[in-house]
Parts: sequence; structure tokens; C-alpha cells
Amino acid sequence: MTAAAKPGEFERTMGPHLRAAYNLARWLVREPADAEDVLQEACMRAFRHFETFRGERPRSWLLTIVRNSCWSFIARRGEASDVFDEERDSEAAVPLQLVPDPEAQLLRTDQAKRIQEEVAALRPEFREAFVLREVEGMSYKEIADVTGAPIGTVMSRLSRARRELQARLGGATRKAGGS
Amino acid sequence: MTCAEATPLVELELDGELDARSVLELRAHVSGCPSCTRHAASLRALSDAAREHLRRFEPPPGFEARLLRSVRPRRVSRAWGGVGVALAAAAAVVLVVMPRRDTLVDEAVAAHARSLQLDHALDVKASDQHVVKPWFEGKVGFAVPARDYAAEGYPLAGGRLDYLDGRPAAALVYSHGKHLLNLFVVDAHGERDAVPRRDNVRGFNCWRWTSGGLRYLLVGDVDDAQMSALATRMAGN
Repeated sequence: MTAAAKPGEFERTMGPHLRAAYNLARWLVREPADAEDVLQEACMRAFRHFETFRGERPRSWLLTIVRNSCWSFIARRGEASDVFDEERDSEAAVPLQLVPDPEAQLLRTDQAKRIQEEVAALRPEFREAFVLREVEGMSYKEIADVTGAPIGTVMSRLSRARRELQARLGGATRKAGGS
Repeated sequence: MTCAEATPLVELELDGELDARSVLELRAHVSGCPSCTRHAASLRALSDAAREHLRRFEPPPGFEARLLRSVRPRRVSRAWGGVGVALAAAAAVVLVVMPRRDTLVDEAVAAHARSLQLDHALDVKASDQHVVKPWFEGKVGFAVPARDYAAEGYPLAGGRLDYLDGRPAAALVYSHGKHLLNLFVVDAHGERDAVPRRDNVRGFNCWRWTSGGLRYLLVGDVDDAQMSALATRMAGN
């Protein structure tokens, strides 16, 4: 690829995925100004390494870089202690909550706000897996590619995210005997 | 199939990751099992609620275009925002005859503009070099000479961690009246010392020099003579 063709080619392939990139950055680093900074850095990096793009799955390719930039940012910001530790945290799995009447409980006027808040409150690893699955509609394989984690880990993170969300969203109105 | 076997499969089915035969086996079990039916309904409700209500954050107007423009390595334009197609085409022609300019200069100017635009100039706000200098320890791979130039009319306002050419850069911020100046410091990677040279990029003055294993890029929109004096003063330290 010639140097002159590169910007146009980059724009054509990656341009359509910048919204997904922005969404992921906002979900991961949260603050709009931080997300913009991180995206700027990620885009520079993506552009510089554009030769390594093989022409397949541009969204996964771009989101991998964005996601890595987000995690570096989170580490720099000093949330390292908040990082999921597989060994430490897997044992303390949240017990499965069986919600008796999930539709009724989730159909609340403030449902949108609550689910938003609870997803935002998840640990970054769980939040990332959940958002990539439910907002971006990615397959386990795609999430594994983007996050650099084995598929088994993706599945357990998603599962953990869901159990925590069920517990938190169902907790307020859960009836006795739901186990 | 037992409940213990069915439970994890419910999630796989929900995510469309279960093969057809297992789907049939799972459904046969779930249809006769109230507990698994509740589990599946609960997960489905959560997933539906997430898809319906979870926010897709939308970038601010013009952000994508700005982002794409900013990655172009040697773009020549005056304004940070609002560059039309015609101007972009003109810039492409100019590129051919322009002498090759250091990409670091472009990145420094972009980082300077970003620091003004996003109202995010300072990670550490302090006029004391004994506060600013140690703040960078462990963030960049070199000791940052955070000097104050209050006597010359450029008091140190603080510092910020930035990135130039994919590497961490110390951005020292100086104020001058209403203006902010960024002094970017990066590892020179063995380059020899060089005296200050001036570039003008998009209306910003950028002075660069290399000294003592570090490269410096001073960016601001203060007038030429003042910038020249400051760069000379800084480089002479």
C-alpha cells in the first residue's frame, strides 16, 4: 500500500467502525474527555500498524487496539487494583439467583436507568464482555479475539456479569423462595 | 440431561453458540423442568432488557471526521476543525512539494490543540518543579526537567502525560497571559544534540531541539519573537 493510498484506505475500512470504538471506549473508561483522548491514541496506533491488518474483520481489529488503549489508560489512572484476578475472584462467584418473575421485575419505569448503572458498576472485565456481547452483538470468538482471552474465559466472564446483574437488578423486589 | 448439565447450556443457547442437536436436547429438558425454565426466562429477560435499554454512546458531532483527519501523518491545514474536501485536495497537492517534516512536530501540534480543545491540559497542576518533576517518575522512561520560567513571563502551570509517535511524552504546560504553551519532552533515542529550529503548523509555532538525550518540542501561539526567545532560553539551560 502506498503512503498516499493509506489514509484513504484506512478511512474507508475503519471509518464505519469508529462509532463502535467510541461506544466501547465510553463503556470502559467512562469519562467523555478520557474516551476521546484514548481513541485519539488508539487511532494513531491503528493507523501506524495498518499494514498488519489482513482485510478481515475490521471491527474486531480496530476494537482490539481501542480496547488495549483503554486498558492502558485504566492502568495509568490507577485502577490496577480493581482488575479482575482470576484466582482471587473465581472462588467468590456470586450465587445464581433465580428470579421468580423476571419480566415483571425488569419491567420497571426506571429499568433503563438501572440497567445502565448496574452494567457500569460491573468490574471492567465483565462490563467489557457484556457490552461486546449485548451491545455490539459479538460472538464468543470475536470477543475472545478483541480481549485476547480464551473463549472459556469469555464465557465465564459473561456468565459472571449476568449473575451479578440478575442479583442486583432482581435483588430489590425478589420474593422469598426463589432459589 | 440433568439441571447441572443444562444450566450452562442455557446461556450458550441464548447467545446462539449452541449446536442444533444440543439445542434440541436442552429444550427437551427445559420444557419439563420449572427451575430451568425460570433460569432461561430470567436470562432472556436480562438480555432483552440490555439490548433494549443499554446505551450506545454516540460520539459528539464531527468527532469521527476529526479523528480520521488527525491520524493523517502530514496533513497541511490551518484549522483544527472544519476542513472541507476542497482544502483536503489542495493539501494533497501541497504535500508533494513540501519538504519532509518530522512527524513528531505534527503530533506535538495535534496534541497541543487537543489539550486546548478538550480542556484537559493538566494531569498535575503545580507551579513547583519539585512537584511536577517527580509526578512523571515511572510514567515516562526519563527524568523530566520541569523548570519554571516565571521570571521570563512563562510560569509553569503543571504537566500532563501525553503520547507522541506512540511513545509516552511529558507535556509541561506554561501559561503566558491567556495563552498556554506545551513543552513536550521525549526520549531522543540516541539522536545528537540539535539547536532550536522553527516550524509553523496550522497557525501554531513549534520549536524543536535536542539536548542531553532528550528531544523537546515547544508549541504555542505566542508571537514569533517571544517564542524564539523562550525556545533559546529553554534550550540554553
